[in-house]
Amino acid sequence: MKRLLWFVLLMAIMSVLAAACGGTKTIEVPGETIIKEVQVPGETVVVEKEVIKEVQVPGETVVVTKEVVKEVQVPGETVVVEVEKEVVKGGQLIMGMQLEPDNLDPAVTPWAVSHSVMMNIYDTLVYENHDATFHPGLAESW
Amino acid sequence: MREGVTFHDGTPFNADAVKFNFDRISDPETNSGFAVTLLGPYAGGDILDDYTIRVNFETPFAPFLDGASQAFLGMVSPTAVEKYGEDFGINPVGTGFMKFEEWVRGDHIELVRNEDYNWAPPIWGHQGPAHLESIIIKMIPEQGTRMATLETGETNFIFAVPDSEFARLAGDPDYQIIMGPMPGLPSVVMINTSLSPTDDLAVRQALMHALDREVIRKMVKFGIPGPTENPLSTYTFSYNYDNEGMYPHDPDKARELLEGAGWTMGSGGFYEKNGETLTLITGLVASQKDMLTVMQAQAKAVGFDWQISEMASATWIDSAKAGEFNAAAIGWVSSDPIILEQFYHSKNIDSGFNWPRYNDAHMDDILDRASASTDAAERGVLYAEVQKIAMEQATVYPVHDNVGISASASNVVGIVADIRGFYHWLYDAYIRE
Repeated sequence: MKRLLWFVLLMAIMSVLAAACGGTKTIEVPGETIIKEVQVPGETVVVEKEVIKEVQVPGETVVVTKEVVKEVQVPGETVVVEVEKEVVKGGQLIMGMQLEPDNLDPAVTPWAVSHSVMMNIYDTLVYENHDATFHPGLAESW
Repeated sequence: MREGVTFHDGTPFNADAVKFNFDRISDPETNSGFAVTLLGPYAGGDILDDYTIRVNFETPFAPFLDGASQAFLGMVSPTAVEKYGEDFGINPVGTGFMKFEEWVRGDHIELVRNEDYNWAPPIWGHQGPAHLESIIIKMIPEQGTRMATLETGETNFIFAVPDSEFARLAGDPDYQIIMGPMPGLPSVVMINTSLSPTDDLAVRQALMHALDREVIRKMVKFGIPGPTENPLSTYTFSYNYDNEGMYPHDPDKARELLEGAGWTMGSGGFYEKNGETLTLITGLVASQKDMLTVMQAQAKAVGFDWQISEMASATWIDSAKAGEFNAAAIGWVSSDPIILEQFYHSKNIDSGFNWPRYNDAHMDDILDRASASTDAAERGVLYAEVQKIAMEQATVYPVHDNVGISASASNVVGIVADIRGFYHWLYDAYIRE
């Protein structure tokens, strides 16, 4: 059942057909990678790029995978250089919550909505993974 | 304990801080709402060195690690507790990846990134400070309004998406849905074994055969959560698959059971016995109305006069605890099957959630052995037995698993629903530009 609920968040399949006429060409895939082609004049390059990213399995984990398929039609005369684009990981998360916490003292509040906020402010001694195994947090071992 | 960890106010974290936290939770003066139950039979801590503590329990307590993984047992700064006293709950200070910034009552809470954070649990996706610079938590109780804020961009992550909106959001590339299966007590109707007429096993079993969870699941929940046939969701450790198929939807079987117990069909379409109509009393809160209305109609088709009435949540809880309902709906998120103790141990009649009012020394003994055992296999067998008895005695009609449904804008990356389904790990999250 759970397997049926996989969500593919981003699946980008790009085919780039470039008629080369010398020099350097940069193809930018938004937010992901940059492909640079350094080419010998007069030749043709076909680059096929397939990127599959972030498959989220509900309640389990986020799997990030990347596959890049390249075909260079004129080997030896064209160099394709791929570099990771620096992704700026930041921003502001604005959450819409259904109830207001009574307070954020974990010893006192019984409410799940408080827990949702507190788990960002407080660390726990251990962390429980989706397979119900326990892992170090503030406690290194036990 | 890990060395080199400091609270947001500069107080060092160490074994003393752990002892301070646990002692404070178990102190009756603290009036702990839930954390104290996660500490079980806590009997003090011994500081072995600056970074080692021995936690003592009066009797073995297997679910301790499960409790220690919940923010209810999250570590608070002893210095800040002393400084703020009763106001600590509105001036929270921890060691987490976000620091409390402000709280405007009725509007929002703001958290900002802890730039010193260098002790992320290894199971998370990176080390060092969180990616997010800040988290704003806005209070938007009305679900339609909450949905609208996601669509206008006023929010980029919302909790509790209505089931009716699920399909539309799932099909829209501008949004992503984050689903969290919730272990614990699923969506069930507890059946009172001590109030007439449900004090008769035959009546309870007849009710089980009269109801049809598949129809309820599809009509009320759009088929999103799966069915369950135990007082545990299918995601919960020890779920007893052997109990499936025990009470198929079978109106003829239901009538046969009632007639075998001396009930005869009356002129109004309801069964009667000794001049009394086969009447069930149920109180409910607004969110349960759709489900119970469908169940009421299913039971009526067999000959039950099921009377349901909506009430305020405080009245509803008090009446349910006092055993005034023949049946009452409830669900409870728990990553450990110990939640069954709340509903089936005789010590939780009146004071707790033993709404079936199941009072049986054999059941108590199984539950006590299960919570004291540190052998997972043994616990699994014991809790499976609890479910078997609960179902054979027709103390509960399990309906469906619970699934937390949240949604975000499609440029929000890396939110993970944790094992409890209802909560989210945000440490690795960021906004894709």
